[in-house]
Amino acid sequence: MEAIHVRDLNKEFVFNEGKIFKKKNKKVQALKNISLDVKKGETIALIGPNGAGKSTMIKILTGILNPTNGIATVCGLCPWEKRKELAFKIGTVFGQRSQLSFHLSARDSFVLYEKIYEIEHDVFQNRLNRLIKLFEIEEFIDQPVRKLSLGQRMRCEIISSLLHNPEIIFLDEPTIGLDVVAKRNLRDILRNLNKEFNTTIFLTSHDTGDIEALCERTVIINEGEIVIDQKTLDLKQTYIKKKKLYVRFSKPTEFKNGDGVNVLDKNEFDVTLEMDLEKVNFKEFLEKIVSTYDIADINIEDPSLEEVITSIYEKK
Amino acid sequence: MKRNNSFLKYISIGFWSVKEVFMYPANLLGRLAIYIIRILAFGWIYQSLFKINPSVSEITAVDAVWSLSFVQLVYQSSGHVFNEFQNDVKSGNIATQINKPYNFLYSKYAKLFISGIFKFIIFSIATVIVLIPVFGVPDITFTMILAVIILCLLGVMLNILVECCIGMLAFWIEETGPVYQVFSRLAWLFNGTFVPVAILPEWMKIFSLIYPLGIPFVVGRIFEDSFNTVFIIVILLLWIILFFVINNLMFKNANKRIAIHGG
Repeated sequence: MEAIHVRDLNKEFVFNEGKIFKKKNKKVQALKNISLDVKKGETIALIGPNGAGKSTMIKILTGILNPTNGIATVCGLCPWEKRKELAFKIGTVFGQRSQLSFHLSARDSFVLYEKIYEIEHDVFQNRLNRLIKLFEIEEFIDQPVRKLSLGQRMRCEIISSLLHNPEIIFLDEPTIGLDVVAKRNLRDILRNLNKEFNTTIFLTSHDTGDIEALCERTVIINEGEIVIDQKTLDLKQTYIKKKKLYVRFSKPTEFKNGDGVNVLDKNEFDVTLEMDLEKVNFKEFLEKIVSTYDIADINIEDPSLEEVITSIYEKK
Repeated sequence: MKRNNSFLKYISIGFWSVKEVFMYPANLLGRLAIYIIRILAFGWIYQSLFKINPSVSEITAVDAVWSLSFVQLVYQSSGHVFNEFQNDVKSGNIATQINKPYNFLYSKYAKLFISGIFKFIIFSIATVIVLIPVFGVPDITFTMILAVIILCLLGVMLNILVECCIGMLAFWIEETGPVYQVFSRLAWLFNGTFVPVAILPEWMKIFSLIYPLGIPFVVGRIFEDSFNTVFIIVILLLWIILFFVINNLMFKNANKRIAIHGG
């Protein structure tokens, strides 16, 4: 069953520009004919440069914004027409905004969400206890939210969006501002959540680490249009045009640039090469240098997903 | 999952906001201190003015002090709530509230009204403790006390609705502060914040009844002989219904105008 179904979705923002008596309406097409299907239990990343339309898309799917035209269903409901009903089935986390009371403890906010989401008390208690353990927040659950670190607050934010056991969780830049350890922990938790509860994860992020760690599918959006929609693993294979090769020789060796092979760095025992895969057959090249030189060690490195995505943005 | 009564949901939101109010007791005590200083200062000013003429427009100095405190009670319990909407719209925080399983507008009412009632109770107790020993008891019956409580609570409710209406303008004009300033300063002239309404000229008294930012504070006129409590309650209820409808229509339209960019 499809968790999300979108067809020909458009969103146009109208802004006033100019001074009081010379106002002009400026129209910005934030989304252009977006069509997308997401299966239940799928983990999907929606990425793109700033202003690409990612947040607009997530806000339409969660019922916050109305589209200009087009069709969308989330858990079988039209988000902007059935906002309240849909709220029971989805969870949302906006990395740059908080849904917890800044002044009260996280537990106080959770108790309020028990009432708002109309959860039976016993069910709520069991679920909260489980989430407290999973997210390891026992130590600070009773502290005012304003005194929590960003990483601690984000864990509480995610718990507040999971209390009603949503079918889909929408995360808009959930790891923004977190340190490396906090990011890794959060990704582990989300991965477990998907495995344990089959919760569909819909994520937007500028952090390619989030995408690689969490999402089996990546949709790249630019200027309001979907430019790429494929498996995250395939994305690298399709768009990798260069590879780096580190070679350590057993004895001093001279190595020169060749057609499609660029020497980036060298000394008498080591050389770092960059190969243009459109000009060089990687397998043949590797066989050739192994048979030609006396090699002590070889290390092959693919460009990072970040480099792949940067090159895609630049081309589009 | 069991679906509870929506009314209970809004009550919970209201009590949660009360908890927020009591989270910073220093803020509340500060406001309380300023309120007491203000009514004492005005009380003493009225006392010296009424020494020249002991009964201006049928009311005494003690009545004037108490009527000022009633007006202040309504203001302290419901004033400046337009900021709630404006801040949510301008900061984009509305995004985290609008996609919850409740009516955003009613959740705001619940939050503001229930916390307003708590503030009203606290400020009323302080008023009684301070004003009785300093200025004495006004000429008031038990029925009038009941009327004061009803008029104050209806005033709080109406003022919240009116200020929410101004706050909601943020969907169209973003900065609603100037609008509030213009209307609230005008209201202060007619609602008895500085001058008891009883001593205002007749046309100003009529204006105070038809001015939506002045009418919530009509309780300040309770000591006038011509004050008809039932008639005033009906007028307040009509204003409440009118602003309830206006706000619903505005919010319905505003919903389509929500534009939250980035993040």
